[in-house]
Order: sequence, then C-alpha cells, then structure tokens
Amino acid sequence: MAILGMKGKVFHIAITGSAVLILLLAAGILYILVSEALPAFRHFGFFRFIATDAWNPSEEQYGAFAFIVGTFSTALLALAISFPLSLSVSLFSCELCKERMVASFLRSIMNFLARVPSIIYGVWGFYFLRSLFIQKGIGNYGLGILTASCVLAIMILPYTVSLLNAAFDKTPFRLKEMAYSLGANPLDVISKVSLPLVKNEIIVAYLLSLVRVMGETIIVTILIGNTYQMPTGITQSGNTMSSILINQIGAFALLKASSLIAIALLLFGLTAILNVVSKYLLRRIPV
Amino acid sequence: MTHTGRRTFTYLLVYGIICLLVILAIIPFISLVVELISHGLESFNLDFFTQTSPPPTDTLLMRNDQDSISFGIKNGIYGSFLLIVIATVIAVPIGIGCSLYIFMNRSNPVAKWVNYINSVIYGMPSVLIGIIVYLAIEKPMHDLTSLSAGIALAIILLPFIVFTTLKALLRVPNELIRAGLALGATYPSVVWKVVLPTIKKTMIAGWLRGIARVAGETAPLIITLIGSPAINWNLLHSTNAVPLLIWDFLNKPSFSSLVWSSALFLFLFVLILCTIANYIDDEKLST
Repeated sequence: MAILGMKGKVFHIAITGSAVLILLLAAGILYILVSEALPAFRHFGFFRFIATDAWNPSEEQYGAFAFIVGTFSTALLALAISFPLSLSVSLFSCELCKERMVASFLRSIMNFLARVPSIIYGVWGFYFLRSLFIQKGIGNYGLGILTASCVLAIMILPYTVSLLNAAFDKTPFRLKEMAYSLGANPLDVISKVSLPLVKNEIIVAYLLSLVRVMGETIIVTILIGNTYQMPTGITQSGNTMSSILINQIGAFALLKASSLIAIALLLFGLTAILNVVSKYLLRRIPV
Repeated sequence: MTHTGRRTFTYLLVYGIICLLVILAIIPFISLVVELISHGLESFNLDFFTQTSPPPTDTLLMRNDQDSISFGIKNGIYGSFLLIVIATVIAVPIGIGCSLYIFMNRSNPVAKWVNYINSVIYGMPSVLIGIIVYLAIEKPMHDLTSLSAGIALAIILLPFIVFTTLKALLRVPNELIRAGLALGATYPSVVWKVVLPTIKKTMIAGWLRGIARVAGETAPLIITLIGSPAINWNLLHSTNAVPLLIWDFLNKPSFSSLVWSSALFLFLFVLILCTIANYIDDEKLST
C-alpha cells in the first residue's frame, strides 16, 4: 500500500467505495422490498398470497395470482409472436445476407430501434393498433392482453435481434467456410454449424427478452385495460404485476400497500432468477 | 428429384420464408415512424418548445376551443434536462469507479460478485426502482421531489455505465498496461494516464446511450413525481419530464396531437444521441 503514495490511496479508496456502494444499493433494495412486503405475506401467508386471485380493497382481501397469470400470459404471448420474426431478422442480417448493404442497414436500424423508449411504442399502440383492433372488434374497446402482447412483441423485437446478432457474430468464420467447402448450402451451415454453436446464447437472448417484457410497465398499463379480475381469454383485459404497481400507487393504505410491495418483490425475484440463470448459461462473465 | 435438388429446394423455401418474415417484422416499425411523423408534425412548432403544458384545470377549457390556446412541453424539456443532469452527476463517477474496481480486481471473488449484482440491478424492471426510491426517500420525507426522481434515474443509469465502461476496459490491450508498468508507473497511475484516456471515446458514447435510455423512462417518474406545470430549478420541488407529460396527455382525449409531438420529440432526441454515440464510437466494434 505504501508504494502507491497518497494519490494512489485516494484512487484505491474511491473505486473500492463505489463498488461498496453498489453492494449497499443491492442490499438496500432487497431490505426495503422484504421489510415492506412482510406484513402482507404474514397476513395472507406466502403461498396463499401467490395462489389467490382476489383484489378486494373493501374486504381487505389481496392476492397476486391474477396478476402473475397476467404477467406470464402477456410476456409469453409477446415472445411467441416475436420469436419467428426476431430469429429470421437476425438470421437474415447475420447469416444469409451478411455482406450486403441491406443487412448492415437492417442491423443499424435494429440497434437504434432497441433504444427507442417504450412509451413511444405505447403511444403508437394506443392510437394506431388499438383503433385497428376496435375495427376488427377484438378486445374491450381494443384493449386487452392481446393488444398489449402485440405491442410488447414489437417493442422487444429490436432488442432480441441485437442480442441474437451479437451471438451469431461469435460463430467462427473459418468453421462455416469449411462447411461450405464440403458442399453445404447456407441452410445447412445455419442448422448444423451456427445454431448448435450459439445455442446457449440464443436461449439467453430470449430469456433476457422475457425479463424485459415481464418488467415492461408503460406499454402494458396503457393497453391491457387494467381490470382486477382473473382474465379468461387473451382478448380479455387484465393486469400484470408491473401495471398494478402503477395503477394502485396512489392508494397507500397499510395492508394494500404491503400487498403491492409484495407483488413488487415477487417481480424482482422473478427477474433476478431469470437474470442469474442467463448468466449461468453464458458463463462467459467478462471478469 | 435428386438429393442435391431437394436440399436446394428446401434451402430456397426457407430463404423465402425468412425474407417474408423479415418484411413482416419491418412493417410495424415503418408504420410507427410514418404515424409519428404525420401526426407529430401537427403541433411541432415554436409554441411546442416555448409554452408550458396545460395545468390540470384547463382540461375542460381545451375541449371547447382547441385552437385558441397553444400549449407546449417547455416544462417537460427543462425538467427532463434537470433529471438527466442529476442522474449523470450521481451515476457516472460511481459507475466508472465501480467498473475500475471490477477491472483491477479481476481475480478477486468480491469483484465477481459486484459484477453479478450489477447485472441483476441492470435487469431490474424500472418500475421497481421507482417504488424503492419512493419507499426509501420520498415516503419518509412526505414529498415528491426532482432530486429523488433524479436518484431513481441514476440507479437505472448506474449499471449501464458500469457495463459499458467494463466492456471497454476489457478491450484495452494488455501490452499497453504492461508497457506502462514497465516504465515504473504504479498500477493506479497506469489506469489513470493510459487506460482511461484509451477508452475515453467509448465511455462518452456509453454515457450518451445511457442518457438515451434514461430520457425515455416513464414508469419510475410516474411514481416519484407529480408533474408540475411550472419550471422548477429547485431540486427539492417537483418537476416534469417529457415522458411523464406524454403519460399525462394520454389520459386526456383532447391532447392527442401533443402526445404525438412529444413522442416525436423524444424519438428524435434518442435518434440524435444514438447517432452521435455511433459517430464517436462504432457500436459494431464495441459489441
């Protein structure tokens, strides 16, 4: 330590301090969520809170099941819609037309669109897609799980594509050249060389997209219709774990507030687990 | 059909399907941009930048004579600027310090944990960060302030800065660091005088991309701010922000042209930031 001198010491303390700050931040987040959520879990019981679909402020009955179902149905539906699209956009720009102008243009457009704030997609969904749905007679005034999922699918597409692109870029060129020299066509190269090589990265790309779709709040709040009953079909309106937080934030009665934070904690746990799983799958931590 | 013929046929079939899906995937984005421009330009005039947003009581008034009063989002632009400055001042130094810590202690398990936790915070839904800031700062203080909203944005920006800086740090050639050490410099001074100047451009680009991400965040602002119609430079008062205004306008049917213009403004802002960032530091090289 002595060899570093005064400046070195200050530098050392500063960077260690900021690392400690991140750890403290995470600990603080966990502490606040757990301590505020405990009353609800104590009152209803952890599993009963998760498994009941009641949101009755007048009877002080709260349960998260309807919102968990809402979150999973919107997120999985959105991923199901965007899966074939994102995979083909990525395959098109990374494998099939790699050296062409179209591909690099598509790549930079997708990289930019991934950074467009989600509220812009929400506005487009609210005014454009919703009126389209009203014309077709789908949903509750055009609102509902299906509408939200469609807009979520569009929002997540560029993000997934840029993750997939990064994955496909890692495939070694030489290996593909070898396959071509053995008489393989591009489809063989994709299915027998590229896809098996980056299998884990592709799974992670979709997992991370799932995390982002689950946590997406604004699009869902604008388009899902915000009802507290259990949704019975995909055109019904509903609520997700993130949209209920926005909807109910004004009313902070004790047990209700605690129930809301409990939902927030569940959402946090879900996204954190998926994040850790994706890190584990990659195991190529940049450290 | 011969074996080769059948393979070529399958390849062409899949190729055709992929091209079709790519076109299908692009259509919504073309629609988004067309709608944004066609509706957004309507009230994208000087008033839009020089007038403040209508106070809540004027909503009914607006419905009667829509054209006689002009409104803008000046307070939103100023407020967004203020929030971004707060977030930057807090997050950038801590983020750089933290990434330096991870970089310099790569073999240390603590650094690995810091990196892990950072990625968990990175993947956290932004609405949760809003709730945590509300619970930790605003609820005890009984006030919704721009400082706390800025802190919420800083928590969103922080892991992003750590992530991009760390990625840049890991691309610095090891020879460069060894050369500095061989000249007798201490490790901190090598980092300060050799490593950081090398990645300066990437860091600035990462910061710009982070701002682009933070500028469009809506969910945490809905929780941590009450939109004020006036321009407030006082950090302990509430302020407004462009995405928050979009959210407010969405709930009022007569403000649709303001919604589109604000969305267009946000879109252009992100586009400009991303273009500058890509000009400074090409993203293709950094991924």
